[in-house]
Amino acid sequence: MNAGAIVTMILTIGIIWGGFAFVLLTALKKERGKEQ
Amino acid sequence: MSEKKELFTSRWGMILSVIGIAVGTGNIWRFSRIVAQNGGGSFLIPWVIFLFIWSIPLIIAEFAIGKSTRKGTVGGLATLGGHRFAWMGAFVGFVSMAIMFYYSVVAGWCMKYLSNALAGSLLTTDDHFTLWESFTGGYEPILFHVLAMAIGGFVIYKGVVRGIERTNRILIPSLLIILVTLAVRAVTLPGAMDGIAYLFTPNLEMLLDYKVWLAALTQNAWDTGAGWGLILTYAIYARKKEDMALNAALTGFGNNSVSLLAGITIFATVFALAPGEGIKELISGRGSTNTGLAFIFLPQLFGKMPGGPVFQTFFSSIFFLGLTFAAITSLISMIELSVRVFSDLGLARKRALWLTLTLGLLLGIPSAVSLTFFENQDWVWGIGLMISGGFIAFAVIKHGADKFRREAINGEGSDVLVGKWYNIIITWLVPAQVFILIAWWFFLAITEFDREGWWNPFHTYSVGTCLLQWGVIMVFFVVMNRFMVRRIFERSQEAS
Repeated sequence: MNAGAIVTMILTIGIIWGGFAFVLLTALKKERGKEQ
Repeated sequence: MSEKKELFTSRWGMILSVIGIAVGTGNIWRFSRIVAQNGGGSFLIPWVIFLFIWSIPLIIAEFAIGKSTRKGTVGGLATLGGHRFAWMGAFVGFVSMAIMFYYSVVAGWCMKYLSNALAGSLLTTDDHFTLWESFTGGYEPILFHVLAMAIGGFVIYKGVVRGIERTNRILIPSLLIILVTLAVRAVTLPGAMDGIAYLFTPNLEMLLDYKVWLAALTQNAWDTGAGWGLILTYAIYARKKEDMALNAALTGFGNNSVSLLAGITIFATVFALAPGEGIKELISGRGSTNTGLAFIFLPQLFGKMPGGPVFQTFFSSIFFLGLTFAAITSLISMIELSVRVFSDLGLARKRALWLTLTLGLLLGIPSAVSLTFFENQDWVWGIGLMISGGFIAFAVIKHGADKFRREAINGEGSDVLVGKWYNIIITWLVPAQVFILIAWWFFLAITEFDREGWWNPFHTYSVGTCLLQWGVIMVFFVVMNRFMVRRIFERSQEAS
């Protein structure tokens, strides 16, 4: 795998999966706040 | 069947249900094919950008319209954009309903191949093309179409909580487990890394090609469920304190995460089990409307998997089980959309369901017996979805984008506040993308798909067939506009 592929993979997975994880964690935190 | 007003019991029940809408068969078979055709990594960059300027803004709009109006597509858009524009909501609803007619056939295909995989018959045949042709050329697809509609109808019959929410709480996590299992198996095959390298290698020349950008926008428009009216319909059942913006982002990111996972799985499998020739097959494929990959090419590869017949049967079965789950969770949302629209128009929910099922069963039959008819409907209503996205944006603009943002999106229950950037995207960027996409697909029809007969309404991939079918439906709904408004709003006034 060349450097371009590695950079694109890290960026794409970072934005999409990382974005999903970040939004999910934020939603979990907010939801816990609402329940309290 | 309960007539009382049901709401999703929790945020997570609603999110799983909405992800169930967005994640469909297109995430699994269309995404991989389009990535392969558009230069792998070069495609992924615009694909990520359009998630932010098409999918998430429209999903936010749908969530907010559904929750704030508590009405289906017709009543929702009429409340927001004005009663004169109820016909636009009817068009949005009809497009998703028309897709339901043939999507049920697709769900049936997945179930048929699941049964083939379980029985082991997928592994005993050498000619998967003939198997596919003989199946779709016969009358068996009708039986599986009926089965798919019956399953979908049963889920909707059980209601929002015991039907939609419970089904998605089971099927969506199961689908994720299946995809992760398949991905682990795929990336551990010898040679799999070549496929992953192809998927992520950017080609700068292709990145500058406008066609790659249009393909990425189209994938977002078709794949995320944005602009279909389906998320709007589920948002009707959102709790009062439910957030809009974070939930929309979760839906968009969740959908594209599944596409990426499926892409990694398919590229790894294809490069590991069919080195050299696999990528050509992935790009060109056989069979219609992207189905060649799922029903012809991948079944061939399952037979080459190491581990013997037991593992081959296991992996081919869970692949088609995953496809079936993805199809069913999307299909039930299409049935619910129609039921909700008919309910808003005054039908009791039970009657609305029976009407939807009857129409679905009858009008799905032509697609079940004729792939040409299926392809025509996929072409007409697939592009029709872009008009739907435009109509939703129009309703927001008519209402006042900033007012909509402040009151409907950033209203009660919001976890994060959406800034003024949203006004610019929904007012300018979304309509611009609608015009560009429709112009692009018509340009393709005129210059590539059907040069001689692009104007002919009876040709499968023509401009004429789109204009005729959209035109008939739009004129009908414009004529019915006053009737629909009277039924929806006078009825709700009486009720209050």
